Amino acid sequence: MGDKRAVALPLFFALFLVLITLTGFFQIRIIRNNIERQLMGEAEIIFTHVQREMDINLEYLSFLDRSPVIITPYFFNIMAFDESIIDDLDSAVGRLLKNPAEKGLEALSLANVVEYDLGGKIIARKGNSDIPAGLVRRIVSGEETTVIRMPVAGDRSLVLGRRLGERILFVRIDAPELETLRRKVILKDIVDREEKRFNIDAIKIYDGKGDLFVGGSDAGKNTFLLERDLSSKVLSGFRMQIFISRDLARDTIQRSAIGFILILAVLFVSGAGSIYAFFVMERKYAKRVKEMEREMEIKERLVSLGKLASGMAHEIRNPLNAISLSVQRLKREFVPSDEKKEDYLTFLDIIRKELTRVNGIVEEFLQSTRAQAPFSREDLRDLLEEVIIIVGEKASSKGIFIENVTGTGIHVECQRDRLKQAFYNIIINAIESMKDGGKIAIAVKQKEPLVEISVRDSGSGISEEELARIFEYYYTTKDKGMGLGLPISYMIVKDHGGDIKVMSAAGQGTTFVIVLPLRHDGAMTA
Amino acid sequence: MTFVVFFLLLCVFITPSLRAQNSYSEFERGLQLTEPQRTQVEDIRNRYINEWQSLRRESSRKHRELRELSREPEANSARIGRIQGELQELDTARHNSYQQYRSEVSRTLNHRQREQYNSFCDQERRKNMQRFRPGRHGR
Repeated sequence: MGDKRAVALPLFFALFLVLITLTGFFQIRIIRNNIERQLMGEAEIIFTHVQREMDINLEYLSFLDRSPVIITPYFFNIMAFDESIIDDLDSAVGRLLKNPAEKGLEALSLANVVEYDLGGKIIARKGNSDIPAGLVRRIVSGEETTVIRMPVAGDRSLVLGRRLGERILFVRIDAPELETLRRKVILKDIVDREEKRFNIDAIKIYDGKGDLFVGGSDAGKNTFLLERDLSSKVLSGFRMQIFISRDLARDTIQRSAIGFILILAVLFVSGAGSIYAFFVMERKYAKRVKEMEREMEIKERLVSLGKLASGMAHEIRNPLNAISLSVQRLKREFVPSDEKKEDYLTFLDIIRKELTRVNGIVEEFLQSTRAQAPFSREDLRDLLEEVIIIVGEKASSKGIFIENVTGTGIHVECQRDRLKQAFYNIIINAIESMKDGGKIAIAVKQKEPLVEISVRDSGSGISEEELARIFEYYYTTKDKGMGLGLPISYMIVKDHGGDIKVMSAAGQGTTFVIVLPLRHDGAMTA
Repeated sequence: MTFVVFFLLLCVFITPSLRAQNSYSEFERGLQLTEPQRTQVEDIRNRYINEWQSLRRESSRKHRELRELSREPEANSARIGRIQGELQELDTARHNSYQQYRSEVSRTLNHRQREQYNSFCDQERRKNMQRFRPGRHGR
């Protein structure tokens, strides 16, 4: 059963982890797809919005060309875009005037550019449009350094002229070119504004030829791109690209992945820990069960042996009595003649002594098996003192000091004589294990509803192998031992619902701990 | 009764969006200007357009000057400050000029037309003007 579980549990756990991993993997994929859809939705909304903005602005621009009857605030703003165009032109012309050797007139992307000398003579030109002579004169005369002519009803072109040192440069922007510039300015304004407003990486607009019309800012590397044709009448053939940063999406996926890995790690650690704990518990439980089985086995053996011994003791007692009486009669009535009298009496004494010994053994057996004896409430200290008095002489003769630190007032419900017998056997066992004197310490600890009596000697100790057998009948390591004392003590303590634990190591002394319930009805279940 | 409430609610929600869809051409058509009104309004426009252009030219010139001076800002700090102040004044003048234009145009319109005109201007301002940088009117 244990083996099956040892395989099934880790297998189940591994399967569980695989399932969780798969679920997490698909979950992250779903999140990624959702984010893609969300980015697409966002890009479409921005696309539609920007396109609408462009349509409105360019519609107003077209109205402006047709001279709207009423100038609304929107027209008023769009009219101001010419300022931007003039500013940009002025900057470009200024740059060219300062750096003539660089690229010449080709440096300006405008169609019509004319360069004059200080006498008003054309020295270079690009394009065919003429510059109004009046404007040239104003610059050549030194009256002004910059002239601007805004579009008027008769001539819808914009002219800008500038003098810097010995150079005079004029640009003329015809109506279609001006229209394109206005569109660029308006679209650039919209793009800049919407980029900031929606916090997007970049918006780029390409004209019908595929050239970049508006949008200079570079898109980041990790971006989502939506590219579509602009469905605009004014910007026919134009395309717009919208770049949305994936940073947020990447962060979301990373956070989800990290969270998932953490969950997986926690699950793995907790699962592995649980399995480990389960096996440790199982091993502990198996060990405990084994111990209990062993205890049960010992007890059963003790009980059966005890019963057998009890029966035998009863059977032996009667012939013993008869032998004893016969010996008494032999000693009293059948003493032989003088020369053999001494030997006769010596042999009778030997018989009597051995009979007494056999009787003692029988009594001990009978004592140990009197489980039905009544329980009474006894002071533990008095009980132990009585035992110490009995064994005191033997201990003193071997130079052993017995220390009893049991406090008064600890009462235990017990079979008085049997418990005394148990203590006696344990203490005698301790005395006999100490060959060179020493000390036996007896202490009692009350731990409701139990009491713990420890008997610690400073003897030679018991080896691990011996420890496993000390409660077995007839097992002894002593020359004159019977192997009965400790098994009987064990049985008595067990009959009281208690337990005996032995802790020992060879050469370091032995401690017997007798655990007893304070009340007879509170017997230990273990 | 329920139907009436529903219809009224529908009107409340739908009417502004319908109004918001009005383009300039619809607005101009909806005004139904008479011929004398149209002539008057166009005269006002032409007069003000020249003024605005001249203000814009002046503003451009000042910007150019400011750019030149900004190349050596420490040496020209006083002049830069002065020109920035003048640019502010030009912006204010242009704004005031536009308000004056609006008031002159309003005077040529009747009550209904004036309401439509104000409403359309407010709508434009609400929807679009807020996005332009203040003081530069679209720049």
